[in-house]
Amino acid sequence: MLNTAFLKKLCMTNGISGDEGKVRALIEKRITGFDTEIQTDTMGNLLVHKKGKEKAKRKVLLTAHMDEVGFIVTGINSDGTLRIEPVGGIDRRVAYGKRVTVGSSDICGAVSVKPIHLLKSDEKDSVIPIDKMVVDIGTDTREDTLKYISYGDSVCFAPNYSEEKGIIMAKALDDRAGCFILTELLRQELPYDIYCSFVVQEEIGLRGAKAAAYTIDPDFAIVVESTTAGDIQGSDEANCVCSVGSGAVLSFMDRSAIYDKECLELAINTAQECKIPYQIKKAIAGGNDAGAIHISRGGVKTIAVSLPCRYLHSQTGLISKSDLEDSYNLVRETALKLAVY
Amino acid sequence: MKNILLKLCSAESISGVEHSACFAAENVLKSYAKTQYDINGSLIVEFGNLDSKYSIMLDAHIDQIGLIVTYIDENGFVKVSPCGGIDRRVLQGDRFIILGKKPVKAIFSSTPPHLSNGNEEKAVDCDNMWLDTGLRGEELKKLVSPGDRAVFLNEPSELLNNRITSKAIDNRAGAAAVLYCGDLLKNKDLSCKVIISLSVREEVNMLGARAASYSFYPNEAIAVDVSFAKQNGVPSEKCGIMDEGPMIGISPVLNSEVTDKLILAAQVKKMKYQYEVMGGATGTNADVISATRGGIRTGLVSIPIRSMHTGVEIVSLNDIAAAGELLAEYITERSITLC
Repeated sequence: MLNTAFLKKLCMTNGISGDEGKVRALIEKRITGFDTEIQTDTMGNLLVHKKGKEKAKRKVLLTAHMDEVGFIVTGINSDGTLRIEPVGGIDRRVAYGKRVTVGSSDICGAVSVKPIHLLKSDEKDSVIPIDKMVVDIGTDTREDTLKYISYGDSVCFAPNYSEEKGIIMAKALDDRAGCFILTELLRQELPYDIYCSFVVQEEIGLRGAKAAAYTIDPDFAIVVESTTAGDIQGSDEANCVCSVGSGAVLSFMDRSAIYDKECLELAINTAQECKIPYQIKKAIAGGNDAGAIHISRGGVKTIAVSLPCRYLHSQTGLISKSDLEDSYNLVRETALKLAVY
Repeated sequence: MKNILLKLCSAESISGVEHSACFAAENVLKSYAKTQYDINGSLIVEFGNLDSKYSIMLDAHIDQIGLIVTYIDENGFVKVSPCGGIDRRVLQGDRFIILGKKPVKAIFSSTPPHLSNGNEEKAVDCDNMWLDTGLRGEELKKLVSPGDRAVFLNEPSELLNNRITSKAIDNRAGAAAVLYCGDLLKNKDLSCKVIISLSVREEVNMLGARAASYSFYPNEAIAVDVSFAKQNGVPSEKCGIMDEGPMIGISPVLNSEVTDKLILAAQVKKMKYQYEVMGGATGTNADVISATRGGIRTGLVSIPIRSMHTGVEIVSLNDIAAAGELLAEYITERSITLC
C-alpha cells in the first residue's frame, strides 16, 4: 500500500506552469539518497538517473509534469483588485467565486463575484469570461495591492486535500499524482536502471518534456498522467472516456499522440499477467507530454499510463486510491519489462 | 470579536438546520444570560433589566444559504436543489460538505470540456445540480439521505487589511456584531430589557424572525444583516463602502424614530457610518418584524460585504466591530432616556 502523505504535500504546494520551483524542491528532497543522480536542467526540469541492481538493456524514461493550471496577474485595477489570465486550460465556470492564493508568499484571495441580487435577469445565467474576472485580496487601492503583489505573480486555486474511504479529493492531482507515483518508485530498489523526468510547463504546450526527452534520449518513454474521467451523472458509457475506480488507463491515441502499438500491447499483457486492473481510454480526448516526447530526436516509442481523475483543471479533482495503486504497479512492471525488451 | 466570527463562520448552519452556529453563539451568550430556543430553533436570550416592561430586540439571522439533497443515484451522485438564493454561477467545481449522518465531503459536479459542447458561459441550471462524493450507492446511502443539507466547505481565512473571506458571512457577520454588542453591554446597568434573537430560516421565509418577534413582542427591534459593499463591476450607488462603518437603513418599512436615533448614536459616538436608502422592502428580517402583531418600531443596521451569496463572501472585521459599538451606544442612550 502506498503511503499518500507525500501526495498530500505535493497537492498542497502551489506551482503553475513556469513557477514550479517549490514542487521541484519537494520532489528533489524526497528522492535524494536512493541511488539517484539528480540534475535540474535549464528549463527547470528535474532529470533523474536511478541505478538499479543491473544495467538495463534499453533506456526507459518515466515522466510526469510538476506544473498545474492556474492564473497569472496581468494587471492591477485602481480598486486594488487583480486582473488575471488563465495559465493552461480552465473552464470559466470552475474559476468564478473560488478561493485562490497569490504570489510567492501565498496571499489569500477570492475570485470576486458580482452579487446575484444586483444582476439583470439575463445575467443570472451566464458566467463572465476569465479575462473579465478579478481577484479580491482585501485591498481597496492599487498602491496598497502593489505592496504585496507584482505583475506576473502566480494565482493558484487554494490548496486542499482530503482522503476518506479510498477517495482522494485534492488540488493539482493533474499531475502531482503522476509525480507521486514516480517519487515512490524511485525510493524502491529496482532490478534495472531507469530514468525519470519531472517536467515543467506541460499545461502551456508540453514544453518541459521536449527538452527533457532530448537530453535523456530514451529508447522508450512512459508518460504518467492524470486523465479526464467523464463518468459523471448524465454522461453515458460511450462518452465517459474512463471511469474512477476501474484501474489504470492505457491509451491508443489522444490529441497529442498515437501511442506505440507494440509498447501498448506489452503494457496490456503486463497488466493481465500481473492481474493489475486496467481500462482502455474510450475517447480521442486530452493530450499530454507524449505529444512532445514521441517526436523527440529520431522518435521515441511512447505510451501513457494514466490515472482516471474527475474535474481536472479545477480547484479539486477526484481520484480513487485503488487506481493510484494500480497505476503505480502498472508503471513499475511495464518499465521493468521495457528495460530488458 | 474576531474569534467569535471565525467560530460562527466555521459552523454549518443552513436554513432549517441551524443548531451548529446557534451552539457556537450559545457558548458566548450563556456566560451572562439564560439561553433558550423557541419552537423553530431560534436562539434567544434576555438580559439587562429583566423586570422592565420596555424591551429592545436585536435580531440577526443565523442561517446561511446552501443546497438540499433531493435524490441519490446508484453511482454515488447526489442530486441537490438550492436552499435559499444560492448563486448558480459559482457552484461548479466548488467543494461542499453534506450534513449527513456524518459529514461527507463532495465536489459540485462539472462537465468536462469535451462534453460541454461550447456552452461554457452557461451557469448550471436548477434541475441539473449534482454533488459528487466518490462513494458508491450503498455506502453513500448509509450516510446521506434526501433532505440532508449541503454547504460550501470554505472555512474562514484572513485577507489583507483585517478582512475575512468565508462561507456564511451572510449573516454570521450580523450575528457577530450582535454578540459583540451584548459583550459591551453585559455589565452595564440598563433600565430596559434587551432581547437577542438569532433567528432561523431568513434565507427561505424569515420564519424565525416572524415567530420570535411575535412571541417576545418587543417595543423596538433592530435587524442586523449584511448588505452590498462596493466592489469591482458593481455600480457605486447600489453599495456601501467597506471600512466606512455600519450602514443605517432608511426605508418606508422602517421606523423613522429608530432610524434617527441610530444616526444620532453614530454621531454621538463620532463613528463612521453610511446610509442605505431603500424605496420599499429591505429584503431583511426588518420587513417581517416591523409588521408583527400590532406593529413593532424597527430599524436596520447592515454590514457591507462583497461577493454575497457565494462561498467567498468578504467582510471587514472593523465594520462588524463598529456595528456592534453602534448598537451598544443606541441601547445605552435608549436606556438613559427611558429611565
